Amino acid sequence: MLPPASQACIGDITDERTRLIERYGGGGLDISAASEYLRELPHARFASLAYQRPRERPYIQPRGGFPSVAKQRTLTLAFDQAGADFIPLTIDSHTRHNDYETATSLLAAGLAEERDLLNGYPLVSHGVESTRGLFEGIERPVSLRHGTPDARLLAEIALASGITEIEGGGLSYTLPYSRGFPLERALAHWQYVDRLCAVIGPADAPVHRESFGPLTATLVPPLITAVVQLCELLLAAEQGVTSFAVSFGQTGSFEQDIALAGVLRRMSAELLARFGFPDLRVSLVYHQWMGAFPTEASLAWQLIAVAAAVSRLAGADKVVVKTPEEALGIPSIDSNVAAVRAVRYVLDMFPDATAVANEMIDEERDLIGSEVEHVLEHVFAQPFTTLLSSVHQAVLTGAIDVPFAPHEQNAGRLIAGRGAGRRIRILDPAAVPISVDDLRREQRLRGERTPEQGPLWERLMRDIRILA
Amino acid sequence: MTEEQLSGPGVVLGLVGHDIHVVANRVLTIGIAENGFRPYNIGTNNDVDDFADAVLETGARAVLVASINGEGEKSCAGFGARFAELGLSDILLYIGGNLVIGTKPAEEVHQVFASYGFHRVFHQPSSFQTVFDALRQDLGHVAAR
Repeated sequence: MLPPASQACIGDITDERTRLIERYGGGGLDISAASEYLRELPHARFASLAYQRPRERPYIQPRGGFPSVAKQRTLTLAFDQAGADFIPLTIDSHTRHNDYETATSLLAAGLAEERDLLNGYPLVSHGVESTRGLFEGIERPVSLRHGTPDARLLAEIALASGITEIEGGGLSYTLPYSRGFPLERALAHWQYVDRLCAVIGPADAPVHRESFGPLTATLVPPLITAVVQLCELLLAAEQGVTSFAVSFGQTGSFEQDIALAGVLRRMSAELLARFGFPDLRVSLVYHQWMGAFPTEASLAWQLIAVAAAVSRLAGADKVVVKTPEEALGIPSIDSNVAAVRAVRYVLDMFPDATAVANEMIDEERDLIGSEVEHVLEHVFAQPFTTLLSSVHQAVLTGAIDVPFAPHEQNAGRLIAGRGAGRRIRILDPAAVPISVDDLRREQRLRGERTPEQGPLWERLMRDIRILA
Repeated sequence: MTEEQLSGPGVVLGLVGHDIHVVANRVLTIGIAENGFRPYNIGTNNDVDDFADAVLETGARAVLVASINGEGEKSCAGFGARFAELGLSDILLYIGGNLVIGTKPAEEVHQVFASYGFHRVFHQPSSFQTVFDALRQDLGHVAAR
């Protein structure tokens, strides 16, 4: 493979943008709407600038999306008042799958029946004007949270609505979220989104991109998270993105959380230097536990509090918060607000947190780093001319394999479980090319398998529900 | 352990409906293999003909249909009749999961799905072990291929 480089940039996307926007034909959106609106937007609304400011604790980012403009506005104001540093806009699943018609009709039916028939905000159905109104008077960045393999139109409308942070990526928003959307097309569509984000903002306030590290949040080994994050970082760098966040979900092991944060920081910097992208600024985002949540509110609160503390100790730049109603369905506004206040309360307890270090963390950091290097070098060694094709091929051959992903092009053969200290261990790497030495270390760290643990399927079930 | 290395009777499993939460399906696949069967996991969003095609392709002896929160109940009606029509009346048909929205007496749920032609119904099973035990009992006489 040729090294990841700016020659892989898709360049001028004006023609493709024009066709896409014409096909949509929605009010308020034309090819210059986004750049003009972003030029006038207050600096406080830019995620990239927020990341450049010094701070004493991670920024707090809740999630949340309701179908109607009125309810979303109420949520936005409530978050603002509760002190959320980033305001979310979470998109419904019909829109995520580009089924705008169904989203629009369920929005209308829900408004008529006065109940929510969508699990998020149907951004394409609402369009630019209504969405700009949601954030009037808000002096915080807004982040688009979705799960969309083809997010081109969504990103166009979001940017024109003054949203300055776009989450997702060709791997991280396809493998965990779609069964059949062709991966190669998703990767190409995300090149469009990356390129759009690179060119649309003012020169001194770029649009920020963030990847989605939790993936399926089900026994995903840190190695897989890191490989996906670093591939998406490099793919975005190729398109000229200059502000990017890698992220990961709480692993359920304190040591692995700290270790993974360290590996992501180090390797992001090394890869960008190696391939000649010195101007890209990388941030680190930590997602509170994304796996099966406890139904009991008092337990859910403990998990949220501990996750907040870990985000601080891991040196995250931002923490994405969960709510005590997580296991029960879509959280209410009150529950969301309470979670933001609680996380802030915990974060303020660690004003001078310093880096945590011990032998176990060192061992994990060393092992994860070595595994990631092996897999990435395998990706870079593919006989293709572009990183996109190499990444695509790596998924098809199972070199990148996301456990429990529904996508039919994902191998789904790697098996991981929890070993000593509840840390995630690779039991069978399948086609993921880690070294023999590293596999031996995984086996050693897994600890003895005892008959009381029962068959593998029973153990996996237990490991998956470990915090539920 | 890979699916190809196993030699016991084949079991096709998959979900009806769009549910993207495939965790249980993957764990079932591993458990079916651990219990000496050959699993063929056909993923989400299947209808009766998808299951029948998979049986014809693989020579499987049993089908395990999973449904979550009552989704896909429509695709289950007439399941047994369709299999008979395709000459597959000797294939064991199981259905399991959380088979209805809300609460309904278990007895009623069993009756409904039995009338669709399912030989065994696992509504909200407490453990997958009950499914594996049933497979062993029902396919115990089938020689490994």
